[in-house]
Amino acid sequence: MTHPTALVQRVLGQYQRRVNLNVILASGLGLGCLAALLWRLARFGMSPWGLGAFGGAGLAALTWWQGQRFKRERVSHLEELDRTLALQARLLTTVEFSETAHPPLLYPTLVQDTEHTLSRVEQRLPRLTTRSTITLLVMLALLLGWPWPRSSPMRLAMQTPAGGQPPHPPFSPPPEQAQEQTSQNQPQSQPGGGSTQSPQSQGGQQRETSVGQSSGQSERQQAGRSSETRDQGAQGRQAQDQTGSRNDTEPSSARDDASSASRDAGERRDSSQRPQQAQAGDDRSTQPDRSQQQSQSSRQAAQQRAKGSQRDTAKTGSEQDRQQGANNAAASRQGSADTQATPRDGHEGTASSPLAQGGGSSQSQDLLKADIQHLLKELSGELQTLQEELAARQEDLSAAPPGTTTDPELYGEASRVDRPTGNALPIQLGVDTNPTATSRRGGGVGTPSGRTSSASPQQPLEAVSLSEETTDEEAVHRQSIPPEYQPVFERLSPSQEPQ
Amino acid sequence: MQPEEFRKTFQALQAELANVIVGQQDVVEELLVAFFAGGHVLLEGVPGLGKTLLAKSFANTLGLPFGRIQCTPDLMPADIVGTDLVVERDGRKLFEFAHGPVFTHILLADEVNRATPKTQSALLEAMAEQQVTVSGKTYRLEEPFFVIATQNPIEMEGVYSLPEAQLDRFLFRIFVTYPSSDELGRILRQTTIAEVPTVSQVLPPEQARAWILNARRLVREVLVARPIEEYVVRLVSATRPDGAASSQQLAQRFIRYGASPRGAQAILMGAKVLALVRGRVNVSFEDIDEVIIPALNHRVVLSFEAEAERRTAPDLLRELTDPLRASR
Repeated sequence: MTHPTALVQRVLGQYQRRVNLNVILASGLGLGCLAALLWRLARFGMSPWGLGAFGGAGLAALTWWQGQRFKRERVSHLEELDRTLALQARLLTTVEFSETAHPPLLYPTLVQDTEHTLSRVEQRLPRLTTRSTITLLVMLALLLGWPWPRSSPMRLAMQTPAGGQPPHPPFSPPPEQAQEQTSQNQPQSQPGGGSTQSPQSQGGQQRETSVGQSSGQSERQQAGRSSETRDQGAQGRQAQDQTGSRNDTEPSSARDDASSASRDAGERRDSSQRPQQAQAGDDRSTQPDRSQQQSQSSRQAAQQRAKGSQRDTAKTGSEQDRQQGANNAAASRQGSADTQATPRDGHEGTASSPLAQGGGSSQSQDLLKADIQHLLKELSGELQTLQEELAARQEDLSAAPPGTTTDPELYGEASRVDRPTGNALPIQLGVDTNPTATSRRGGGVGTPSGRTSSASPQQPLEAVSLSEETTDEEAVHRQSIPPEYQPVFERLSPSQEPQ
Repeated sequence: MQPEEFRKTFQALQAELANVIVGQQDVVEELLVAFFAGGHVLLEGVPGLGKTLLAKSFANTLGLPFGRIQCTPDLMPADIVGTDLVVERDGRKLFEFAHGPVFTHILLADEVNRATPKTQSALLEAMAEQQVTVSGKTYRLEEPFFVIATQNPIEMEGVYSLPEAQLDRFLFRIFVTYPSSDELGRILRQTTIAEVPTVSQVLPPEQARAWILNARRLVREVLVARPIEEYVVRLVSATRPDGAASSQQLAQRFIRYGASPRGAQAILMGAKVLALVRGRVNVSFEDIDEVIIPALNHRVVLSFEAEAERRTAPDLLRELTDPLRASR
C-alpha cells in the first residue's frame, strides 16, 4: 500500500505540470497572435513607434492575462476536484489517521478509497486544449491566413524561395527621410535610364526608390523568379513606356491629375511587384538597346490598343475628356509603379529574364503581346470603374440640396379605393318618431314614417306553449301536535287551530 | 458490515419509500439519516402532506414492530408508557405491568403538540435514555428505538407547544413542504385508483434488527478529521449570542439561546451517515453543510426581535453559517 502522502505528492506534481503546460501553450499562442497582429498592422502602414507601443501593450496584457489565468487555473481546478471528489476531506482524513498508532477500523478502506479517488484525479487533470487555447488557435489561423490575400503571411511564406529571404513589409518612411534617400539615390539611378521621365513620374520614382533602398539588399538578392514575376516586370515596363509617351503629348493639367493619381497608386502598389519590377528595370539597364527597341514597339502597340479601348468606352464628348484624364491617371499610375524599376546598379541585371535574353525573338514578342493585352484589360476595367464614379459624382452634383424638393418616388403609386356601396349601417338601431320642424343633417323635414328597415335584424318567433302542470309549491304543514299535548296547546292559545 | 452494503440498503429503502411517498426526497433521506444516526425526528407540516403515511411506510419497509400514539389533550402518560394492573394469579392479587405503546421499535407520536405537557414529558425519558420508569421500576426499551413525532404548525387552539428541552431530544426537525404541481398530479394518479401502492420489506424480518444495529455501529466508525470537527464546533458556536464568531452581531440580535452540544453531536452523526450514503468512509465539509439546518433549526431559540421581523430559524442559520462556509 502506497503511503498517502507520497500519493498526494505524486498527483499534485502531475497536476502542477499540467497547469504549467497549459499556461505555456496559451502564452505561446498568444504571442503568435500578437506577432501576426503586429505584422498585419505593419502592412497597413503603422509607424514603428505605434507598432512598438502596440506590441508592448499587447505583451503586457498577455503577461497579465496568463498570470491571472495561471492562478485561476490552479485554484479553480482544485476547487472543482474538491467539489466533485471531496478530495480535500479525504486527504485530510487520510493523512491525519495515517500517523496514528492504532488506525481505526475503516482506515484501510479509506486508503483504498483515496487511492481510487486519486486515480480518478489523474483522469481529471486540466486539459491542454481549453476554450481559450482553441480561441487563440483560431485567432492565429485567421490572422495568418484570412482572407488569404496575396500578401497574407502564409502566402508570402510559401512564395519565398528556400534559400532566399522573406519579403520585407512595406515601410513608408517620413517625407523628410524619403527626400534624403532620394537625393542620395538619384545619382545612382540616373545613369541607368529613365531620362525621359516626367517630373510626376520622377516623384513616384523618388518615393519608390527610397522604399527600394530600405529593402534593397534583399530585393537585389532575389535571383530566381517565377513567370508571374516576369509578367509583372514586363507590365511595369510597358506602362512606363506609355507614360513616357503620354507625358510628352498630354497637356499639363491632365498630367497633374495623373500625377496625383499616380502618387496614390504608387503607395497602394503591391510590394510583391516591386522587387520584380526593379529586377526588370535592372535587366533593361544591362541591355539598353534591346529594351529601347522593346519599348518603342510596345509603346506603339499599347497606344493602338488604348485608343481602341477609349473609342469603345467613350460615349459622349465630356465623358471622353474625363475618360482621357482617367486614362492618363491609370497610365501614369502604371508608370509611377514602373519607375520603381529604375535601375540603380548597372551590373545588377542577370540573364535570367527571358525578356532580357531574347527581346528580339518571336517568343518574347508573343510574351510581350500577351502582356500588353493583359495590361489593356486592366486599363479598360479601371476606365469602367472611373466612369461609374464620375457618373455617380455628376448625379450628386445635379441633385438639389436636401430639403428644397420632394422626392417624386417618396410615395408609391396611388391606388383606387373602392367606395362602400349599400347601407352603411346594416342594423337600424331605432326609429325617431318625433316630428321635426327644422331640417336635420341627413334627416330631412317632416314626420318620420315609423317603419323599420327591412335590413334590421329580426327575431324569429318560437313556438311556445304553457305547461299544463302547475308549478305552485304545496304548502308545508307544520309538525302535528301530539294528541297528548293537544289540550295544553288549546289551553294556551284557544284561538289557534290545531294542525 | 461493509460501507457499500450499507449504501445499497439505504438506497433501496429510499427507492421503496418513493413508491408510496411522491416527491419529498429530502424528507425521506433526512428521516433515514436520523434513523441510522440513532436519533428521533420531528416531522412538521400542515395536515395532508403524508407525514403519517411516511412514518407507517418507513416502519413497514424495515419490518420492525410499529406502535402509534394519537396524541390528544386527554391522553395520559400511562397511556404511553404503560401502567401497573392488578391481576389475580394463583389466588393472589398482584400488580402486573402492562406495557404501553412505547415498547416498540418504531413509535409514531401523531400530532404530538396536542398532548398535554405532562404527557409529552412522558416521552422525554423514553427518547433520551431509551427507558421508562413506572412505579419506581425502570423498564429498558429495546434497540433500535425510533420516535417519529408529527406536529401541525398552524394550530393555535388546543395545542401545547413542545418545550425546548423536549425539542432538543429530536435529532432532526424536518419540514414537510407542499408538493410541486407535477408531484401533486402524480399523487392524484397514484392514490385515486383501485390498487393503492404499498411498500415491501427491504430487510428480512428476522435479520432486520441485527442489521440495523450493525449499521448504526458502522456509522459510528466513520472517520472525521480534526479540521472537520473544528468546523462543526465553529458552526455551533456561531449560533450562540455570546459566541466569538464573526457573525456574533447577528446572533446577538436575533437569537436568544444557541444550539447545545447535542446539536453538534447531531450534526456530526448525521454527516457520518451521509458520508456513507455518498460512498465515503470519511466526513467531508459538504456532509456537514447538508445537515446543519435539520439538526439545528429546532435548537436555537429566536429572540423577540427575530419573531417581530418574521425571521425563521433556517434563514438565520444560513446567514450565520455562510461566512464560515466561505472561510473554511
